[in-house]
Amino acid sequence: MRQEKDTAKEIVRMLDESVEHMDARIVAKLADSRYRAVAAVNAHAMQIAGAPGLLRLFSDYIHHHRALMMSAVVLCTILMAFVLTQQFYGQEAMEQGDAFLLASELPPQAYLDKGFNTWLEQASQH
Amino acid sequence: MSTAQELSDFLAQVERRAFKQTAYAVRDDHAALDIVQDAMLKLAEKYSQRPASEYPMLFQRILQNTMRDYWRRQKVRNLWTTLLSSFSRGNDDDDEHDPLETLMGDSEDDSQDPFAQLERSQTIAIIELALQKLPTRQRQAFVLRYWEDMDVAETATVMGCSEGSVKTHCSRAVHALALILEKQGIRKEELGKSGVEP
Repeated sequence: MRQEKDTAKEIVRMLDESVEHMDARIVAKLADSRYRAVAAVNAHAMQIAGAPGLLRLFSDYIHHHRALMMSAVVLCTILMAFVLTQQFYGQEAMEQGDAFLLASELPPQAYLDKGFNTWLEQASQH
Repeated sequence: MSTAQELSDFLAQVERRAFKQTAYAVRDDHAALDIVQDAMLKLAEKYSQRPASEYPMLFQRILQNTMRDYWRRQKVRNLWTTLLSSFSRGNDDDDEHDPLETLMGDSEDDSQDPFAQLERSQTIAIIELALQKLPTRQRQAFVLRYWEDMDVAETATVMGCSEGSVKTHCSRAVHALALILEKQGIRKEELGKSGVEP
């Protein structure tokens, strides 16, 4: 166990040395990536700092609950699509009903009269 | 809650090791740079508000996941490449290519440098290649436990396995590395000699 740790230490020491002598282009690219990452944080902080109190709280909440917010947006979209579809479908059915009544030979009162259907069936049997 | 300066300091501290660690895994410097950059951005965007003490664990977790995503994409790409290349078969003599042999051959030509420096750079290159040759989980365990200096519990959390597995992976990794180095004629004592002065 002791020998294992010593060997690991020696290897790590060599690896540390390799890190010290890395290619300058790679080091520059890594530094560039770091600046970008930090700039992203600063930009977000500036955005939040510029917003007034309640808006800042809201923005902070959204930032920390992005997954939840996305789910809420998707759910709302589905719900709205359902409601709209239902509305259009209902309207179409009503239009069809009106058209049927207007085009029918019988007056609309005939369909509301419960005894009319029975009378019609009996009359047609004779 | 930590500041942008703390994040910057942390990234400056780990970026080179993260790059090397990724390069050992993906064996492509450009891909490794992209992966490290992605991991840095993810850490900054999602976890910059966390305490700085949590950064090492979070960053390693993100880095491992980003590497995993890369491998998944590579797998799909390789599948298509294999399918397409089966239509146009060329000479694949490079299949039997051993990077360690190439390294030894290449380094012999480099007679301009002082001997000690050459020997040291050779040893480092052999270690790096040996690390690349390790199975993924062993390499991960070795790098996190010994190079990133995480304890067994932290390493287990990052790797998503038990502490016992971490110990096993670490032990196997060290033995495998020692064996590869010994095969290349480098013993532990020589390793200490060719390393940097403490």
